[in-house]
Amino acid sequence: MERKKYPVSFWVLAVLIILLIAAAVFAPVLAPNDPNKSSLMDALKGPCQQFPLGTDPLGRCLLSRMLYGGRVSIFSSLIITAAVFVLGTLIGVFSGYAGGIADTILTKIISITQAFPKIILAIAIAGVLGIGIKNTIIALCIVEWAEYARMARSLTRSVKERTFIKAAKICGYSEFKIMLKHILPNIIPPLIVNASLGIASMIMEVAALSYLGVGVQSPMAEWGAMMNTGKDYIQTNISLVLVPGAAIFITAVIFNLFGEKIRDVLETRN
Amino acid sequence: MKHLGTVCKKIAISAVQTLFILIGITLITFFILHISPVNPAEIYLMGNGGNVGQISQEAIEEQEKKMGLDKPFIIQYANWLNNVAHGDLGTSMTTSKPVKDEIINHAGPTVALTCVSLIITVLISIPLGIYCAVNKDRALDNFARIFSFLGISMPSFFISLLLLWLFALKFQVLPVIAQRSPKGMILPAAVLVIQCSSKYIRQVRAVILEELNKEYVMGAVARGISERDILFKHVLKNAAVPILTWCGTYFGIMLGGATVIETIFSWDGMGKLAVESVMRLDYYMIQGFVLWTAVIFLIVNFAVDVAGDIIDPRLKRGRV
Repeated sequence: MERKKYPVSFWVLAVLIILLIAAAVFAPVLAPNDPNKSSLMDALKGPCQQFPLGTDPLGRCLLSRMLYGGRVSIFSSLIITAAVFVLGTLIGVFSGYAGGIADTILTKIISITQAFPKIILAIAIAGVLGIGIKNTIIALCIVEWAEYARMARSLTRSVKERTFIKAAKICGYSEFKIMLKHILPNIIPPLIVNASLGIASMIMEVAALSYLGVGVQSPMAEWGAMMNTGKDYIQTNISLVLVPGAAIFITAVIFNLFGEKIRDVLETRN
Repeated sequence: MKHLGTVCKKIAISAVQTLFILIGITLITFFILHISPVNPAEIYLMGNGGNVGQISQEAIEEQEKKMGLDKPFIIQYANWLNNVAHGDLGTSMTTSKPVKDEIINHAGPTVALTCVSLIITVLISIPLGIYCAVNKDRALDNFARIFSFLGISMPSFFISLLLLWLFALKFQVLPVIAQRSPKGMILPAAVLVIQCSSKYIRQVRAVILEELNKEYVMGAVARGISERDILFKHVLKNAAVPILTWCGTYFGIMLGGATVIETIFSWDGMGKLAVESVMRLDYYMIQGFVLWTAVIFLIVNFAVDVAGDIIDPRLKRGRV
């Protein structure tokens, strides 16, 4: 297979993503203030030297909270996407390759998961497990794996009957080896595209749960939770909504653009 | 006659599957609620004016008995299922009204919001998507692509809060709290339309572009068939099934209740009801809501399936 050159825009976006992740990793170094230190004397201040983006109703530095919030939002969505990608793909490949009764049962479980109202199920699970970012991640994993499983299953079924799989069978390879070494590499590109385009929507889902009050526990900074605090002050101080909103928006744009570039690269290659 | 037979068989199979999925979904929900550390009896009593710590253990136990919570999990579920089969969805634990009435009460606003938003979404997305595919890389196509790209990169609550701030607070042309008025519907509908059409335009555009690149189109051009006929008689017919499927998906998502949007605009529909019920752990209300969304999901899927068979007879014969 001839390797295509990646376009310049691909590298630009890759650098931007690395910068985003670096900003999240180095939040403690970059943040001018302690994100959780509240002082009512400084409540709802406009931008000034000490607080470059102003403060929230508890007098906490908005810029610091935005930087720390990025850690939670970006890393939790990366973890969820990676987890559901691996889990869903493995289940889907197994279901599609095994066929028969196992396939029937797994397909039903996939349908059941997909028929659930996603956000409501996630709220219910988060409510049962308790509020906190770890439980939010678990809740969203339980809700999201099915999409990848369904996709991997149908892709597996489409390559299952091709000659190279038959050849591998005749060669006496184990079923396990055929699934991992022969089927998986052939179906992985569209799944990667789906995952890379899914990161942004995962950031938004984590934020939505936090916005509804079941994501992170206060006083932890998270973009959705920050918007929830900000919405009560929308009339007087729109920046409380704009700052975390813009953070989500810019991050989502970068991840979405990167996802599209990955799709273009993988699709032209095939 | 043979045709009728296959249709009957299809309906029978999907009816069995539907039943299976409905039982699965409600059983899982029941289980999740059951393992919750929060006691609904306590919540019920607290909702009626009691304070934490003031409720005696006896009162809680009595309430548990009243709600049937003292019985084992599977019996509780069987009782609930039996009641549902007789048309009784139970009583809300917070409002003490029958769940059925609550659902009927809240379904109206959600159905109204859904119909308005879906119609506008379809009217914008399908023509625009087709136009953009045919006129690829022209000004309007680029504009639509930027619009839809920004749309999918913004969370619904951010769009909602921005619109709320702009139109309800800054210009004060629309009410902050919707209260079931047509004027109050404008903002929540706008957010739904922005969100769904930004996805839908892309999907329509992509599927039309894919069809346009197929060989039969080149063949039709070679035979001298007019562009208009190729587009409307061949390409659109082939692209109709996926376009319809997405439309069904959006319909289902909207009817399930746009949770966040309804909460922000205080639109008193299913989504807001669901969030409130989950927060209060209102068992039967949540069950009722899950049942509602599952039924919608299944009906929409079935309808899309049947419509697909009618539009594209190849699907029925299982050739595609």
